Amino acid sequence: MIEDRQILRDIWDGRIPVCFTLSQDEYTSPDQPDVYYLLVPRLSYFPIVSDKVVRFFSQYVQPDTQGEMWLEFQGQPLKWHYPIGVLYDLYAADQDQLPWNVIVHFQKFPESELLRCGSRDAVESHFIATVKEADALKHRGVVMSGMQKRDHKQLWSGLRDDKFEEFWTINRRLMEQTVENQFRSIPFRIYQIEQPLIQKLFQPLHEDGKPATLKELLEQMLPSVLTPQPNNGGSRVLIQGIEPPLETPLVWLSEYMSHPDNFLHICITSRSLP
Amino acid sequence: MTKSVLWAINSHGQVYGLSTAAPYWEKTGVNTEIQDFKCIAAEKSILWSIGSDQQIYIKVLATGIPIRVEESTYENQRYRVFKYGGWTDQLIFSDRYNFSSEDGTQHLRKDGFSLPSPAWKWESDWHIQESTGGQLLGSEGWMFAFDFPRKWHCEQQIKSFVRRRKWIRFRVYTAFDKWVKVPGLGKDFTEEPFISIAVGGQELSGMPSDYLAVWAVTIQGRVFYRQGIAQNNPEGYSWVCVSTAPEVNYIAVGPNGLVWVVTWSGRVLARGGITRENLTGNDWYEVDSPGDPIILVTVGSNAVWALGRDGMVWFRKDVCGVKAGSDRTACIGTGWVQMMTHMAHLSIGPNDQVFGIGRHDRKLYYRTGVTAADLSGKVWRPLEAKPRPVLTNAYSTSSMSSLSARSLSDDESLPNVYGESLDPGIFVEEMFGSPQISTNALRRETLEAPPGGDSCNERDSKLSVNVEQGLTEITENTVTVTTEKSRSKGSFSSDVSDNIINFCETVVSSAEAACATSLQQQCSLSVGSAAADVSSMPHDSAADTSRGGATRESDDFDPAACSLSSQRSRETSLSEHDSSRCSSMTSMDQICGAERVQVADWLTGGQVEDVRWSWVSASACVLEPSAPPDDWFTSGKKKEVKSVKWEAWYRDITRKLRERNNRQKQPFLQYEHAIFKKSWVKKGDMHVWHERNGWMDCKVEFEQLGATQGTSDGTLTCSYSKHRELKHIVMLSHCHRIAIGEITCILRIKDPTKYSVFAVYTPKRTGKGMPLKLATASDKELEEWMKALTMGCRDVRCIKASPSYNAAWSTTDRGDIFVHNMLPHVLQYTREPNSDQLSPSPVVPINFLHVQLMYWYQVAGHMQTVESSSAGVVWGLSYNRTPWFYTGFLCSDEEYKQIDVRNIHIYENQRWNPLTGYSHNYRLPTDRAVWSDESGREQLNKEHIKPPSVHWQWISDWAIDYSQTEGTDKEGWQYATDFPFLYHKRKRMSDTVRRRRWFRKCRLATSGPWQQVESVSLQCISLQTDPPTWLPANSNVAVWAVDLNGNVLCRLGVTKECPQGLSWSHVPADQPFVHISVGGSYRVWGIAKDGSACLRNGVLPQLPNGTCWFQVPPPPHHKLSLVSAGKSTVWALDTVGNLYYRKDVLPIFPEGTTWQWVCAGIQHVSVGPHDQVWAIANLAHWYCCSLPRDQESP
Repeated sequence: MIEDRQILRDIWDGRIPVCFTLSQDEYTSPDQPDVYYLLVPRLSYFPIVSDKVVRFFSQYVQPDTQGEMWLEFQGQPLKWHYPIGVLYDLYAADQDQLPWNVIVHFQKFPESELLRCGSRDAVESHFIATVKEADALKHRGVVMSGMQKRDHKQLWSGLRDDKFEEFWTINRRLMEQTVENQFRSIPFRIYQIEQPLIQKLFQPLHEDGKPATLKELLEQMLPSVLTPQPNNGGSRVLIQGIEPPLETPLVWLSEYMSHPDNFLHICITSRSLP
Repeated sequence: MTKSVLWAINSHGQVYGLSTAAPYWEKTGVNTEIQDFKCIAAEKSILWSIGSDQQIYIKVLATGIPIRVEESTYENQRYRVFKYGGWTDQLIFSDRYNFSSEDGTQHLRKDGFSLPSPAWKWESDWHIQESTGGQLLGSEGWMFAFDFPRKWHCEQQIKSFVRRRKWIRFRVYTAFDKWVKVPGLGKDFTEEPFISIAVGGQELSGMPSDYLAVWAVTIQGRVFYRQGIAQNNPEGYSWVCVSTAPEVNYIAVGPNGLVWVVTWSGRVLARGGITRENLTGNDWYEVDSPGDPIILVTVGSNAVWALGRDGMVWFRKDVCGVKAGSDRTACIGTGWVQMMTHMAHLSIGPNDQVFGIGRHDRKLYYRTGVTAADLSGKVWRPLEAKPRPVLTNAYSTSSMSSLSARSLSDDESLPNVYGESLDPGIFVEEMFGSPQISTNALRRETLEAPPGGDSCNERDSKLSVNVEQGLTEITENTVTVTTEKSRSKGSFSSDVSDNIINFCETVVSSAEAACATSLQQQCSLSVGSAAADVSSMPHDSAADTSRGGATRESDDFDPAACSLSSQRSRETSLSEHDSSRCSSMTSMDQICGAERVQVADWLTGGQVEDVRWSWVSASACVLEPSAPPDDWFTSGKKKEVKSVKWEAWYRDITRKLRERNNRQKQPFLQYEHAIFKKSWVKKGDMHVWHERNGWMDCKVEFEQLGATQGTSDGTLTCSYSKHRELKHIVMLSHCHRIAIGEITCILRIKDPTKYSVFAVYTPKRTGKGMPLKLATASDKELEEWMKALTMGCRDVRCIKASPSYNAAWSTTDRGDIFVHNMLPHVLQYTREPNSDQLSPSPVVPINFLHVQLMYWYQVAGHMQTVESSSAGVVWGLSYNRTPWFYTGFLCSDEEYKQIDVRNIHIYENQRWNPLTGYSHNYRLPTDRAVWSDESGREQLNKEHIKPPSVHWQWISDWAIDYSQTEGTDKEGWQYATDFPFLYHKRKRMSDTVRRRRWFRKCRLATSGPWQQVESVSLQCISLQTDPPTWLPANSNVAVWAVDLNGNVLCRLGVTKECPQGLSWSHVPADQPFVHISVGGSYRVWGIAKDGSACLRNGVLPQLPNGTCWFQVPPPPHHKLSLVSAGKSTVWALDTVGNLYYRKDVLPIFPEGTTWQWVCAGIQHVSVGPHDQVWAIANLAHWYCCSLPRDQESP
């Protein structure tokens, strides 16, 4: 079913250049610490890729005040459990400044806004739980429960180690559709700034068998997106950092442009006024 | 995958074809001569059938390749001073006829030639051949000699007393895609009508590839064999009565020529002794009866199936088609196996795949699981494929039409068809391609459907009557009148005209139909002027329905006997080519995709009823038992992924993704990467080839290092222990270490002792001629290693999925395809030929060392030759001589199935001795082995030869090859004075040795980014060299080809988006060709069979065929065999490997002046668009290439 590996590869190879800067009021050394540049995969999560960042900045902060690292972009704490690409698309894409300047904090963890991550294991269990949720939406969870523990591990390690083949040999099964076994509903999440995310049930096919499109999804979930607002330049619908045409079938988007967690993450941002 | 077609007849006698590439049955057209058929026997390109009048009809399926026969006669004259005062046609009594055959024995008057049947047409009038053996003759074409029959000279000499010249004329077969009656027996064909027909014998050992055995049975139970059928003569010459057996009722022929018959009483007989020497066999063998009278048999390669009178299916064990000619047991098998199913009809394909028609439901069934090991298969699986759906109303009892709506350019207009035809209930039908009408004319008929409730038969007959009437009455007047009439009824608004409904005969013609569609749209805008015949009549029944609250279901697009001659549509598309370009770019996929969408609509609105089949013929249908086409069994409802590629949103997304990565990733690649790829190691035990010690055990390690800056690196280490004989054995450890970045090529090679061997080339090793040769224990292991290494190399070199347009392509003699992505500044384009592998060339010029640095990587698939054009089109010719096009540029990752067949040869050698004559036993010590390869260097064993890899399977047994160029004697022997020598076919006194070649067919099932263009057989293809920027915008890519009979063909409509092109156009030439090359600026060079070169003049984008041939004589005493034209240079090879360069080729003087000899020992040469020359040396077995050479000093 999944035939078009080039698209999958292009999605997989999506990267964002990030410039990590230590928060100004947190360093104790006399001179300002350097910034740290890193090219991070869009599909990954910050706790997976930020080990080096933590190690790098640790030398500038007092060990006793060093709490769990958290990231901030223009005053907005970044949730670690969102894929990096989603965070970028949601908060930074409209400014289009590269690299992406992210502030690193070790103090004053914003408990009200962020979950504590703890360790990589937390990311892993979050990831696997999301995949299971997506599978529950698509196939009533039969594919995930039919897999072995080893396969789950492989999904995770494929994502963690950026191994496309390793990941897709397993993920292929999750994305498979046959005539009898279509996606029951599309696992998607719609993000907006300062709004709760939207996740509802949505059938990929109309009753007459026609595939539903992205436009129809938005019409049902967020009709305001499609009507241009007079006070701003309208909304942008970003998936994987691009604005797909609204007539794209949702099933295809789900198959090809989902994140490794099998969810289609859709970011709605306002178009910046010229 | 190779397309093939399953043919069947439904209960109304209409013939349908189901292509392996299509989900629908396509109805074949009928013509006025015959409406319905009783039985059909199909060959790949010819259908033989018995019509309802019990006469035999054939239909030659159009492939675009002409069927063309040269007729010739020699005019002879003598120089007689007395009485006649010069040359005269008054010959003396001992001379030959005035007009005679070449040897003078036959009297052939020019007006004595007649066409064999009405299906043929003269292509041209008689004209004189102006050259012989590549030598130009004078304008009158005379050749001179001292007397008949002597050596002929081109010039008149003092001693010339006779002269002759050759008149030639070509006849062409014109009745493509039409049913043509084959003359019956006797004057009154009704006296002895036919009742059964069968075709087969394509694989009969020793016969030419176009051989076809056609057998028929008459009402009197006599068995006839059709003589003289060949590719050039599809109808054959005459019927030969094969000795009458007990009254025969049914006949079947297998692909190996095996014939089985059933008698009226239900007995089964097999024809014994059918061999190359005796095509009709010599005796009938009685096959024991299963206890039940048999009514029908069907013969495959190694299986025979039969039906009992009660419909019981029987399978015959142990039949072996290959040996049937000589072995009685193989011919009749050993026993019957009852299959416990009841069927109404059975037919078996060439590879023993079985189809049946259910006894009660009359549905088609396919026997699954039929393999060489289990010929009886597993279960019957119904074929769900439907005829191409139509809207049928409640009155239609069967839907037998292949109506399809095509409105590619405006899909949304489709509902209009409904809407328009809804209220008045007019049945719209279109027909185009009537011979009387000019190319841009199409016929539009609005036919009346008879009132509902009538029986289907009646309706059909009525409809066809209407069609017939329509055919006869075409006048401008009726056009306008009826158009107005229909307009006034409001049933025929211009909207309707825009919506095209056409009947299409085969899927093959879909592409052309797309052209025609847009053509029709243009035409329909000017309905008044177009010679369209529109006759509309109110439709009572439908009108009634619509009055009574019409619903969509009441629409009625009805079956009508109507055909679209694909030949004609091809002409149409040709002439309107430019204007229909937009739609011609749409490929088959798109059409199919569009159709499917529409079909879904149709299905919801109308209803498709099951067809009841009466006859099926699988003899042209080669199915892969492992992968029968899914479409056949899922009734075409399968979701299509491929069509996505043509959607606008898809292209938009891919473009945006590329842009995203270019913006967000590419500029920052120097950043530290967040995730390091860990290095990994692959280890294995192999054998390594050592110059002195032969194969030795070794350990191989392939270590791929983690990514640092976006690239990875790795090493291949091969360590082995070397035994050295000193006073005691010392183990010395040795090690080859190769950095992955150094590897230039990894390819599988043939080795005399080991089976799974591959070679690793590096620049240094190439220079020394010593690749690292490694042998693995199994093919599987070898493939894993090659894949890992190739991927590693590609990663290191950052090679993306598809090669650039300027890549060089090459193939090895194993059929593996290799690509080298050229650096833009070094060389662009080349097309590449066969290369042998083994050692690299020692004659690589020193200053071209970079040649050794070139990295070649393998592309999946299997081709004999690959030709590329820098316009982004790549074609290949596979070993079974069919053309394929490369799909990697369109959709990079998709792979398609490919089946290829090639022959493996072995030579049997014998020496003569005075006592025993030729025998195996007596050999000189220096002689080659009894069984060897062609060179004699390698000893082979006939029983132990393996196919090239595990993916190959033997599909035949060893057989003697009679088809060598030098000819062979009756037993296939060729004689010579000694090994190795020139061989000839007749034994002479001085000959002391002889050899003969055996061949065995093997078949490869593989996959690769290739799709078949058409199932035609070609011997040579060539693509234009010029990159598209040099040519006028929107011009097509020039693709020329030579078919097996030497006809030159030009492929129309080839573009980057549509690399398979649209249709073939025949370029007439007086001589058969062997090679063709498209040079720069559309200069097409060809090599004729007599060894002379020809230049085609006047080829332009607007005139893809050119205007005339200009003959260029070959170098004296040599025959050219291959030519390659570049931007401004032309190089050629003669038959013995000399390389020539054409001097003084200038744009205003494209033919040049003379051939200049360059060097000898060249196997293949190819010139690129910048005049760079690539060649493969004969002995060196590797490419040597030269930089662009100066024109003055080649």
